[in-house]
Formats: sequence, C-alpha cells, structure tokens
Amino acid sequence: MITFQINDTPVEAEPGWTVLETARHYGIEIPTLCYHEAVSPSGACRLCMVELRDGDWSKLVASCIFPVAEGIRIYTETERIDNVRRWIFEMLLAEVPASPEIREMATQYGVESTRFSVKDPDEDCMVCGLCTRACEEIVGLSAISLMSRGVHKKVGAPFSRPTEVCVACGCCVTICPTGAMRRLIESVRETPEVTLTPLAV
Amino acid sequence: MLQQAEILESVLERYPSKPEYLIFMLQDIQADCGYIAPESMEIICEHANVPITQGYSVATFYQSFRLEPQGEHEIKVCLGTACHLKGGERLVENLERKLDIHRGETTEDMMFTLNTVNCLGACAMAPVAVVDDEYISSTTPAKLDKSLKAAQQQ
Amino acid sequence: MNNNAKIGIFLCKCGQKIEPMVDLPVLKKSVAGVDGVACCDILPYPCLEPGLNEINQKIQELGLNRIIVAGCESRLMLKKFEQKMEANGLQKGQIDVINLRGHVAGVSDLSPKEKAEKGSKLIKASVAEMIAFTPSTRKSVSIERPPVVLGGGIASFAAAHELAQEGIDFMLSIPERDPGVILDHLCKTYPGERTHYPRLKKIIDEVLESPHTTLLQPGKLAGLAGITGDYTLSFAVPDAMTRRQYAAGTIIACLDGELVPPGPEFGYDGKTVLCQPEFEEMLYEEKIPDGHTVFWVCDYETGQPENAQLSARAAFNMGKFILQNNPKAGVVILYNEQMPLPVTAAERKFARKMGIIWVPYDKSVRPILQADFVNFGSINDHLEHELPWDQIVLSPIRKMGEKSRTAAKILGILHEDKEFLSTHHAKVRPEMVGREESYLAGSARYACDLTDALNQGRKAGKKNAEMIKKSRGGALFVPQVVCIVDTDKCVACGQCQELCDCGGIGVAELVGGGLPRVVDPMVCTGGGTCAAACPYNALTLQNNTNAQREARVAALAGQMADHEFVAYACSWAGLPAADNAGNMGLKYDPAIHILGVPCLGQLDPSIMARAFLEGAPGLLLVGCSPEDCHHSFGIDHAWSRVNLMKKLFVFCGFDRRRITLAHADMNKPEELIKTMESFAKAIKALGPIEKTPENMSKLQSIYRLVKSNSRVRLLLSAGLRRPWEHTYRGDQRCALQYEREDFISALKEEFLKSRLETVMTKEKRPFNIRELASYLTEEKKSVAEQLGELVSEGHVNVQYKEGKPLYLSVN
Repeated sequence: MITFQINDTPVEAEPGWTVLETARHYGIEIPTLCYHEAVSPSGACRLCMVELRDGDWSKLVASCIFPVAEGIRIYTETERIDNVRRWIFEMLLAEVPASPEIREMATQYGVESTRFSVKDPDEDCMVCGLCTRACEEIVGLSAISLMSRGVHKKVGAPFSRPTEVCVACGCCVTICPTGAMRRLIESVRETPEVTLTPLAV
Repeated sequence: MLQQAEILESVLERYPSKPEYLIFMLQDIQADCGYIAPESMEIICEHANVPITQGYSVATFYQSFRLEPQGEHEIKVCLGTACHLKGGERLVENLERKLDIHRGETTEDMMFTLNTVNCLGACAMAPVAVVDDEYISSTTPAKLDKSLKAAQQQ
Repeated sequence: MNNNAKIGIFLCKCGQKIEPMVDLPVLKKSVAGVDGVACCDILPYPCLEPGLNEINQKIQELGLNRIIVAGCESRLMLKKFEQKMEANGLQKGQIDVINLRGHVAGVSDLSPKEKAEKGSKLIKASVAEMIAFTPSTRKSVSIERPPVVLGGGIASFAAAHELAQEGIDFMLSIPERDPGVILDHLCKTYPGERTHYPRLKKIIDEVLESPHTTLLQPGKLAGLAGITGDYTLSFAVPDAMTRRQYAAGTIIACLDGELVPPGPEFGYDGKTVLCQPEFEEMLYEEKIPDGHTVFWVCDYETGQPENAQLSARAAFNMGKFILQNNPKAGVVILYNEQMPLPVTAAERKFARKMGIIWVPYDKSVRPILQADFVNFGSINDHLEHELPWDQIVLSPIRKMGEKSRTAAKILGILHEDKEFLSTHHAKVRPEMVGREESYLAGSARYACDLTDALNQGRKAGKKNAEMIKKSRGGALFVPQVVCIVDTDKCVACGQCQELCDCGGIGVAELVGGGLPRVVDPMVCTGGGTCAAACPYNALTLQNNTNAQREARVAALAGQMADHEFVAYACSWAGLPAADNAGNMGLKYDPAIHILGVPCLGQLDPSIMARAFLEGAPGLLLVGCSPEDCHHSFGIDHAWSRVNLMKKLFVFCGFDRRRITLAHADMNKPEELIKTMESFAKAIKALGPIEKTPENMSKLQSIYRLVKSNSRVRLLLSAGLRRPWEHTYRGDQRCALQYEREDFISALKEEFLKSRLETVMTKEKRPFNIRELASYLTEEKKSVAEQLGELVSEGHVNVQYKEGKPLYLSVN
C-alpha cells in the first residue's frame, strides 16, 4: 500500500499503479488524448501532465505513465498546469486543424485559436499511436505502425498500400481520439475481391 | 519475383532468428541491392520474428534504407550549413531540371537517383556533391554535367 | 437451471461519460437483486488497475464465476479484462462487457432514469445468458504423431529440412528419391533457376540422410480423414486393391504448379519457337544455342500479367547462362513496357556489360513473329522495329496442374473457381492470419519462383515445428470458441461440411460415408453457421452456444415495450459502426437495443423466432455486405434464415417487415443510424403483435418449427446461397423455382404440422379433424394428412370413437 497526496488529499494506491489511474479512481479528472484504458500508455501527447512538488521546487510529470510513489505530492489544477494545457492545445490546433474533437476539447480549456502557423489545414492525425497500439495489443496483428520520423512521421500500413494483414475489425477507428482513423483506414484495409461463389469442395 | 533471392539466402543463413538482427539484415540487403524490395522485407521480418510493420517502421526511420529501386548511379548533394550558404539548393534545383525528377526520385531510365543529404563532413569543399563515390569539391553545374556524362559511359 | 452461476456486475462511471447521464444507483438497484447475481458495484473505472483490483478481490471473496462490466466497447476492453482476470480462473465467455457508454449513455435524450432502465434491460439479458452458459473445460492439443510432408512439390525438401533441423521426426512422401533426377526435372516447373541447384542439392541430401526422415513408399494420395493431431492418410498402392494408411499429426502439402506453352497464335512450334521450361532443359543438356535468342516475356498477352516479372527473371538467368558459355551469342529480352524491370541497378550494369539487351515494346502493339524477324512497336519513336531471331523463348502459362488439383481436392483445400490454391480466408482470429502458410507451400499455391517456393516450404516447416513443440510441451490449447459435433445426433448429411468455409469439418474415418462429421478445433474459426444450419442440432459452438444466445434474446425481448426492438449487430460491421456512433456522440432512437454477435451467420432461426415469441415487435439484423463477411457467407446464410421467418410470418398473417436484414460498414456510423431510425419508424407504425392466444400459438409454432423440424432445417440449409450464385447445390435448377415449388410447399406442410402440435400439446385432450381444421382455418384434407404424419412420427396417438379418429398428443 502506497500513500501519497493528490491536490492535498491523501490517497492510497498499490505498487504498479500510475498517478492517472489513482486520480481517476478517486474521481479526479485529468484530461488525456493519447491515453486509452484498453492499451498501454505512451505519454506522447503530454496533456495529462501534473505537477509534482517537493519542497520548493516542482516538476511536471506525465501522469499516465508516472508510477505512484510513497509520499509524493501531486497537483492537477495549478496555474502552471493550466498554462501547459493551453500550450499543448495551441500546438495541436496548428498540427491537427481538421479534427473537430480536438477543437472541441481545446474550447473547453479556453483555446480557440493558435499563434502557430498551420502547415496542412486538412491534417487530422495527431500521431498519438493509439491505433497502432490497439492493433498490436488488442487485435494482435500489427497491421499498421508509425513510419518515418520527425515532421514526416505518420501512421500507415507497410509501403502505404492496403494490407491483407488488416482484418477491418475497426478497433483503430473506435480508439482514435481525433477521428483521423476514419479517413486513414480506407487506405489500410483491403477491399475484398468480388467473387460471390467460392465453394470449398 | 524475388530479384534479391541470392543475397537473401545468404542473409538468412548468416543471422539467427531474433529481432535484434533486423537492422543487420536490412543493412546487408541495402548494401547489396541498393534497396529493400517488399518481398525481401517480408522474408527478413518473418525470419527475425517481427511483424512487417516493425521492419517497415525501422526502414523508414533511417535515411540509409531505401524502399524503391535505385538508379545505377547515385547523386548526393549536400545541403548542410556550409553547403547551403554556398548555393547547394541551386545545385539541386539544377539537377532536378536537368534530370526531370524531384529530389529523392530516380530517372525513368533508371540511371540516376538524386538525393539530398544533411552533411557530408567536407565543409571546406562546399558546395559538395557526390556522384557514386566521387566527391566533387566546389561543385558547379558544369562539373556535375561532366561527372554525370563520365558515369554514363561506364 | 442455474449452472451454479455466481455473477458479479460492475457498473462503470467512466468519468463524466456515463455517470451523470445514466442514473447508476437506480440501475444498481434494478439488477442487484436478480437471481444469480452475487454482487453489483459501482466503480469509477473498472478497467484501470484500482478497479481491476477491486473486481479481482470480489471474485476471490465471493467465488464469482461470471463477470458483467457495464462500461464501454467490448471490442476494445474485453481482452484486457480477460487477461487481468485469467489468474482467477475466468475464461472466454465468462466475462461480458456491455457498452453502456456507447449504446445508452450518450446516444439519446432520455432522462438518466430512463437510460438506467434501458441499461438494466441489457444487463438482465446478459445475466440470463450467463446463467445459461456452461463453460467448456480448456483442452490442450497434443500432437504426438509425426507431421507428414507430401505432394511432391520441391518445397517438400525445404519443409522437411526445417523439421529435421528442429529435431522433429517426420514422414516424407516424394515421388522421386534421386537428387539428380529431381534436379533434372526441376526445369519443367522452375526454369532459369540453375544457380540455386547446388544449395538445393545440399538440402535434398541432408533431408534424405537425416535420422528424422521416414520416407514413405511412393504412391498416389487417395484420402485424408481426421483432425489436427489425428490424421489418417491413405495412399493408393499400384496394382493392388488395398491402400496404405498412415497416421499423421499435421500435414504440409507441397504442391507445384504446371507450366504449359502458349498456343500456336504465339508462333509456338516446339522447335525454334520454344517455351521456357523446354529451353531450360536444352541449356541444361549443354546445348547452348548460337545466333540470336529472343526471350519474349509474353505474360501480358497470355493473360497473366502478374507473372511477367517472374518470367522475365527466369529469362534473365537463362540469358546470362547463354552468354557465359557462348559470348558471341545474341540475347535480347523483349518485354511489355508496363512491366517494371525485375533487376537491380547492379544487375542492369552487369547485363549491359555482358550483352543482354532489355527491349521494351509498346503495350498496344503486340509483337508478331515472322521468318527471321520479330516485329514490335517502339515506345520511343513508334516505328515498328525488327529483331533478328534464331530462337524465340516464350513465357509459360502457369497453372495449378492436374496432379496438384487432385491432391488438393483430397486434402480439402481446393476452391473450384480459383486457378491457384491461395485464398483470402476468413480472417477472424489473429492466429488465423497466415494459417495457410503452415500447411501449404509451392507454386500451386500461387505462381512463384524456386526461392519463393523453398521459402514457403521452410516457413511451413518452421510453423509446424513450433506448433508441435508447443503441443508436446502442453502449451497448445484448443481455442475456446470452436464447434463440436455430437456424434449421437449427427446423421452425416454433410450440410455443415458444405457450408463451412474454413475447412474445419471433415469425416471421422476414411471408410465409406455415412459416418459422423468431426470438427478440427485447430482449424475451426468459430463462425457458427454450421451449428445454426445443422438439421439435427448436432453441432454446438462451444462457449457461444445457441442456448446462451436464446436465453439472452428471450430475456431482452421479454422486456421490450411496444415500440422497442432488438437489433443484432455483427462485430465486423454493425457493432463497430454502433460503437463509433456512440463515440462520435451521434444520437438515435432509444427504442433500439443492440446485441453484439460475432457473425449474423451464427444466429439459428430459433433465436429469431424466440425473440418474437417473447414479445419483441421487431428484429433487425445488421451485418456486413455480402463480399465483406469475415466468416465467409455468414451474412448470406442469415439472409436465407431471415427469409424463412418472413415466409412463416406471411402464413400467420404477421407483417413480413417485422424482421429485416440490413448492411452496414464499420466506418459509416451515420449510415447505420439511418438504418436503425428507418426500422424504428416502421416498427412504431406497425405496433406490437397482439398477444392473443391465437397469435401466441402461431409464434410458438414458428419457434417449434424452426428449432426442431429437421425437414425444414435441411431444406433451408440446402439452399443457403443467394440465387445468383452458380454453384447452387443439389439439382442445377433455378433458385426461384426451387423456392416456389419445393421449399414453400414443404414449409406449408411442416408449419401446419407444427401448429397442430402446438395446439394439441397446449390442450391435452383428444381432438377431431373438423375442430382442428376450423381452429386453424385450414382444409380438412391437409390437416388429416399432417395428423397422419404426426401419428407415424410417434408424436400423436389416434383412437377411434364411433368410427371417427380422435387425436391425442403424446407429449
């Protein structure tokens, strides 16, 4: 049993739990984007940042992957956190301007516009990797993955061609937080050949 | 359709079936054939016990792996700081016009592939271009012309 | 019967996504007291570690053996729950996830209490299923018998080699044992591959010398029976009536294709215009030609463009060989401009140095052979150029070949309408992807070169070795959801085998017919349409049985209000679309109650009938479109069953539209909403089926008919195809004719019989013909006929009173 504090309230947890899980268990909401309960966390979007204070100084940690530890003091609603969230949303609005889900979430946190230049007004994929993790962990097929790196990083099937490994189960579409997978899945799943009659003799 | 059949065979024999050897296998194919064909990727990934997507992720992550057939001669134009200041970009544009391709592409007759690189470590010779293994210092369009013609004669 | 089910229900608050919208305390009160429910808790997030901890504690504390989580998408979350509760002994089928969030919370404007009520209906239905469910014991597969590599394809040696390296004893059936002879003949199936022969010879030698190899006497494959781990193969003995039989654990079929020359329209004459295999043979015998050899890669023109690169590659190799031995010869490879060159940059340079010339020709101007020259259209200047030739070598046409076809048929892997053996199988479980590679290798699977064939063989060997080692270590388990045959009920009609597309159903033994079928659990994909079709209900889909489903739909339908209805959504189309609609915050008519099912093809018609019997005013089935079905034709089978129900409704005077089939795409949730709203409207307009005694009797009759009338079930399963398909089983007659003449008339008779049974078992007294005819508004003649049938079947006894027959039900 590990005891620590969230927002000055003592909470109890078991070793191996993350701060986010514990917070949610106690009804404390922390926003997330690249996190989904069904797959392992990755800490990519940084929206779940919380402040960890130790005496005079504090640091920001990603609560979805930060393991609970005895005696730590976590704060989820501070000025610094507020600032971080707004920065993240501004950057997301520039990176992923075409996602209505991100836009809505940003509005909830008071971000309606962005100071950054928009490279591709049609971009809706934030490269959070949830789809690839879903395909790997839930379905077990790894039909899609993250390719290239840096600003060119994107999600897709090998050689950007429809792959027969994809069974079109739709888990990636369901788990996608921005709705981008609805568009991307069409270039991943294969359209079946129209045969109508195979009869195994 | 396995045009990389022979080298694949020796690769598969040399490396154990473990994920750690993925990059080594990819490097061997790349070195021998200039690129990694889709069928080769499948066979290597299967041998290394990784899903194809992982092999593909690794291959696209590194610049040195190519996934499309390369031309017989590779032209690398440096766009690092020094070369950029000395007009490397113009050299690339010149080649793009002359060969009628974009950077990263290969000419239709499969003779030349035009690539840009971030630094060749030869800044004193800026702007630098490399045709096959030949380094051209203080590159000019005229020098490039001469070099390409010589390469074609081979 | 309770089956000792101890159910734990866990309601998820899901942050703000379920809790304020659904009144959870009200929901808890509604379900906590239901029989079989041991506990009902509200948790903030059952799916996170804290929540899982609490659930696992409850399981241990209360001895729970069934868990229902009312949370979010089962498709995403179920696996995690199964993994986290496995340690406590819970297996597939014992955990159910209901999508309270995506199917109830956000998709309508009902009040929180009303949503709680809807959730409660869904949960109670799940409870009913959990109680009806008896988990099967987890079985492990033991493959003690050796694998057998057969088929005569060259991949046999690669597969055998791999098995030998893994230390597995195996049986090898090959037509020829002399490596020299084998390699000699290889040019017929794999021309231009000479450079691989030394390595291949090494493999062949190693295989023949390996202590793990048991060579079977050459013979033709005559039959195969059994299941994974327990196969019996029989080979025909030449000049003898007997057959040699072997027991095998797994099978690796290495089948090679056949290469035939193109027709005379290509100029083929076998003398100067040759085909690649015979040319290779010529070269092999050291007859290097002089003069100009033109390899015409004519695969585009012979209708096999996908093989062009294969042929070109072979041509390149043969060309190299010619020039190595006769540097003065001329070698040109004439290829269709559409084909990308299958050579690397280094090879192109090398080719130029050696003198092999690659000449592309205009795809719209087909090359023509004339004496001494071959014409072709140049893509550069559009002139017709000429190439001098002394030999022309044409690409072969690649086929499966008769030998491989026969072997494939016996092994049960032949698909009549495909040229090669590779298929796009129903990909259901991730371990099914790539399954074909573990039992099939060679150029009969798809046209390929020697290295590819050998790689396929090696892969098959490797996969088999893995599987065998796993099984011998006790770690190979039968999947939980597979079909099983009750041999007491099976009459060996073979319908299931004909319907099954995964090849999992076979005969138990080799001798003759009339023997029960057996399901290979390692091949079965859990589609379940076989079980839904079996006329004698001899098949059960374990851990996902008809009984379970019936209990669930009965419980749900029984709770439906007059305008509410049940919608079955298949987990590849309807269910993902519904889940996605929930995620996107789309709204639809709350009258719809969605039940997920892996494939609509699993739905026995008795499920459909039961829903109406329990009071559902309508039943919607949302599945994939026909070519998308992951279980291969499950949706088509569902179509036939739905139409059966519609016909029966017409007999009863009920509106046909009450049961309807729909198609959805998992990526088009908005369209699904249109579907559901449209149906909801129709059902609202129709209202419920009035619960008069007569109507109840009719519904009971329908239920009894579709559930246990073997004649109807047999006729139904014999016609489980859409009418436009060519392979309509039975007589090759018009499907519409079959329906009008045979099916409907049989259906009428059997339905009347069922109605009689229903009436007579309800009121246990003797009836005479007249009163039955009048009650059922049927002709006395038909009633008399059917009563006669019932008597001969032993369901009804007849007594004579004053010369008039009186009928009394036996049951």
